[in-house]
Amino acid sequence: MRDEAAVASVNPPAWAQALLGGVLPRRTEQDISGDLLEEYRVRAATAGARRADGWYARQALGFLWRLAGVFAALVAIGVLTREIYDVVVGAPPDGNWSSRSMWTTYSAVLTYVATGFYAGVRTRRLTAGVLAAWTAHVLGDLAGIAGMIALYLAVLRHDPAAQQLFMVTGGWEETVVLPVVLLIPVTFLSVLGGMAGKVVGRRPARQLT
Amino acid sequence: MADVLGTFEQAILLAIVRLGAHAYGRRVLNDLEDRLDREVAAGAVYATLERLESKGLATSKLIAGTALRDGRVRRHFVVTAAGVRALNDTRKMTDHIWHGLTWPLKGRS
Repeated sequence: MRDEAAVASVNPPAWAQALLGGVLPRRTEQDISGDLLEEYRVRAATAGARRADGWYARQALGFLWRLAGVFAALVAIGVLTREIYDVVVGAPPDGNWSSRSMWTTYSAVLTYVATGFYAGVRTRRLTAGVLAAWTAHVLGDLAGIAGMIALYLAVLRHDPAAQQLFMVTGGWEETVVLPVVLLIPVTFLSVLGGMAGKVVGRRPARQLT
Repeated sequence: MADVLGTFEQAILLAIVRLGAHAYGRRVLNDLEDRLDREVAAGAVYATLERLESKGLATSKLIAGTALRDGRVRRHFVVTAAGVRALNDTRKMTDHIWHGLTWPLKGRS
């Protein structure tokens, strides 16, 4: 029996355990983390510690992805839409970018609050909301950077006017540096959403029999 | 007729039935991986178990853990009467929609 070969002294990577502890629902944290630890130890004994580490890390990241995936897609769509819109439509006739900026800002605010809220409802943890919002932000912005590189290669580098417009609206600095700076408001917004989500997601705890 | 279950919900409920007194998360995951012959994301299994519980198709209770899991509790699952009904209805519906066809279907190219 493969269970009998398992050793209780081997442990999964600390970062993956910490990540899992931050994203599992409070109600089921003990039983799910216990199941994964048990399976990890069985796999470590039968397939080796390295493969077991990989399996455990994939599971931990999978739990995070379930909270963040949809929102990462929303962030990516928002960033790419704005980039493409600016290149295709060009500068506003009156030179005033504030309405486009407001649209981008408010949709981002809504997305990060929603990320925290969803994670708060699902897990009743603020850490889950923050981790999910960071993931959505980083992945969404990476998609944005990739989109910007593609746009640059396909359109901007052949068109001096569009290139000038790109530089005027922030250029590479805004594309790359701004997402890093935004981690602070992203954290704040996800905590706000998470607090609301924790209240909405409240459920009675089950008793140990 | 009860709601028709999705394939993954069916697989999980059937794993619980099959495992009987040993139906807790890890065993359900192992059973699914054996039957589907691929790695299954634990997150998907636990999310489905939670959904089945909230629909009243399964119920759970906590049992004290073992040293292999550092004493962390186990959540054991049981299929409810509504869950059994849903499984039977789903099977009946599947048989019904396949009625008159020979399996496996011959592809046309």
